[in-house]
Amino acid sequence: MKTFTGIVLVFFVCISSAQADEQAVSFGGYVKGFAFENLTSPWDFQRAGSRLQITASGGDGDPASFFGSVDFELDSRLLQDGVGLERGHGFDIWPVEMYLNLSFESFDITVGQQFIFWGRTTWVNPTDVLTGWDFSNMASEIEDYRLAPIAARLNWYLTDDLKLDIVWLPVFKPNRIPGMPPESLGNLDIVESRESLPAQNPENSEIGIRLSHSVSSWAFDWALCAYKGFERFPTVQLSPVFTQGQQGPEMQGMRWDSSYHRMWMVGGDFAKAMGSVLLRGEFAYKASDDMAGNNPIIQNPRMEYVLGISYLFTQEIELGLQYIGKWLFNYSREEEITAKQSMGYPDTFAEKQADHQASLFCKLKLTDDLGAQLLGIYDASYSDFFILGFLWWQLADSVKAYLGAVAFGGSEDSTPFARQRSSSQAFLEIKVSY
Amino acid sequence: MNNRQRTFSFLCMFSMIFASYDAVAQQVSADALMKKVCDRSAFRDMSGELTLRIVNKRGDQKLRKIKIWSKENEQGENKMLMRFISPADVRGVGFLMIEHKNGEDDRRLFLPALRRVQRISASGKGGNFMSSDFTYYDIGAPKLDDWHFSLGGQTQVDGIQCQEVLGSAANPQVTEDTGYSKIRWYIDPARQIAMKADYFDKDGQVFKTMTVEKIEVISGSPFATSMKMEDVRNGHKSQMTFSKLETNKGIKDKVFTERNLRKWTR
Repeated sequence: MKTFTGIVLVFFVCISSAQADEQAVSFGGYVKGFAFENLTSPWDFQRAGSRLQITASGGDGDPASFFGSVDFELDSRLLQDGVGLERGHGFDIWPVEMYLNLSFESFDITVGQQFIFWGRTTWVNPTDVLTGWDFSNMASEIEDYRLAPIAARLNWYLTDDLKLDIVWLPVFKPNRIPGMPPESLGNLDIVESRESLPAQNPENSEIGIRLSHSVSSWAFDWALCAYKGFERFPTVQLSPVFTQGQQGPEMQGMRWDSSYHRMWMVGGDFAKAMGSVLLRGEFAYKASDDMAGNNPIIQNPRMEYVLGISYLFTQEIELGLQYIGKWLFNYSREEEITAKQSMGYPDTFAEKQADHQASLFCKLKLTDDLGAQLLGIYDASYSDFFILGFLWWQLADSVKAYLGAVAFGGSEDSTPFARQRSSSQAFLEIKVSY
Repeated sequence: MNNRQRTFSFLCMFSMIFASYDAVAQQVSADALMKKVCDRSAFRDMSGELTLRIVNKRGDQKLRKIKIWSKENEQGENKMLMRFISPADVRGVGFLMIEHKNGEDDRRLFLPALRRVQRISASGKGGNFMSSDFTYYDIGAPKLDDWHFSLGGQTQVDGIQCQEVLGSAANPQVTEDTGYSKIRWYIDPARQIAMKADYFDKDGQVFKTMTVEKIEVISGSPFATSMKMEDVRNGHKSQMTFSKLETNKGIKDKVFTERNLRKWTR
């Protein structure tokens, strides 16, 4: 709350000072109405609401400018409350982004809450480790399902085409995952839960560095990056909870402790245009607290890689295909399952050492006012999938409607996508920008 | 093909096609006429605002306002930056294009909603410019070598006696890339401005017509500041109007960088 208040104060101080200097402050934003329908039995009407977003920007960048975006949302939401869920039932106000920018001859400094996206592949970006995900709010727009971190960022332009990006994140912001913790695992109830975020101190702040280069005459971009921080997915420790019964201790259920472990990453990406064809690739080596792979509940060191090609058939049709892979080091699936069973875990799902996925991305413009977008990921290792698709109508200038769906599924319930099956939903949004 | 022929700027194309020059040869071949028109680039750089009005066959209108900066370097390679001002749902969208005579054109798109600059592939010169009836070829890079020119008759356009010049595609690939088998220009011989142009489809039928609606003198040269393109098959129309034009102001190369492309809040 203190952070939020501080950001809002800075925001309004900036607006006031800009107005005092007779610099233009531009206001904009949108009004949106939305409704979500659960796609799994019993077809609950899951959520409905409306949102007003106000954005303000100002300053001419010589040297200072600012940007702020605040959402005011009245949201009737029937999701189960999750860990750290802020976008909840009722009326909420939150800053989407709010930052100051100082621009100098060869570098920019940006301070505040801001989206920072790394990587060049489509949707699946192994190096995109700075900005968290809100899996409880998957919809048509990126700011709905990503969570802007508070950061200080230096963009140092060594040349017009060579940039060094240094990012410092003082406050850790994990992913939001619906249904965490669950009410039960197998036949065991979760009776207690606790989330442990990394202590907020300088030692636990995150830092990232990225060197990117655009070779204009080759229509080629590449980047190398490194990051030291924390996994944004929690590690979950389960332990039995006993109460004293008449005949001794009786097991009541399980205690759910989620925590976030350290992570180090080095990676890179590239993009190359060749006429109507675009090649993109990205890789990241991620090391964890458990380099030797001894602890079954902590992520093992791993390599993640994506290679994709997209083709622009016409201005109306773009199609992209990607291979997405992952390899776990120092890992044995059998030992992982055995270790989890010995710890009393009812859910003995364990990753495979090698994971192979394929993604399809398609953008269609059917008429001037009607289009569609589809993203599908199929995981061949687990036979499960994720689909996000929507149609859009441009009803008038600045008025757009979206009708879409998010679907998770698979042949088994425990695999990564399939276990999110209950989050499958259809959505309808009408957005008026101003 | 020389450099100047190969690369023309987004805006300079209009100044080239529609620009005037002082001396007009009375008897020139069609090739020489078109070459002179195209070679007489009056502006090294240009900035301004472009209003694009798109009208469908039902009469529904869409209005787009775009800020544009354009510059040609000494090699004749063009750089162009565009940024949407309105409508609100596309405000801040930016497009950067840097032409390379010996390589791929560099095209990058900034979408504020995604907070990313993305390298994008080229859709071909025949792709529609911002969903209008103008194509990238119409506004961007006419290559003289793409066409075999011949002189036609004299035709009145808006009360002006114009010289017809017919350009036929030099090879099938040109038609494939541009969508045009022929283009017929109507040149005002006094000002050396095309007052009108007819575009022929692959079957040799006229399917689009461009007419100049307003000419202003910019930096001493006549310049078509308003023009309309009509698709005669479906009644779709697009009108382009330039305003706040400034030329030869010494626009710096730093304008045409990814760093500047991202600066959408201003």
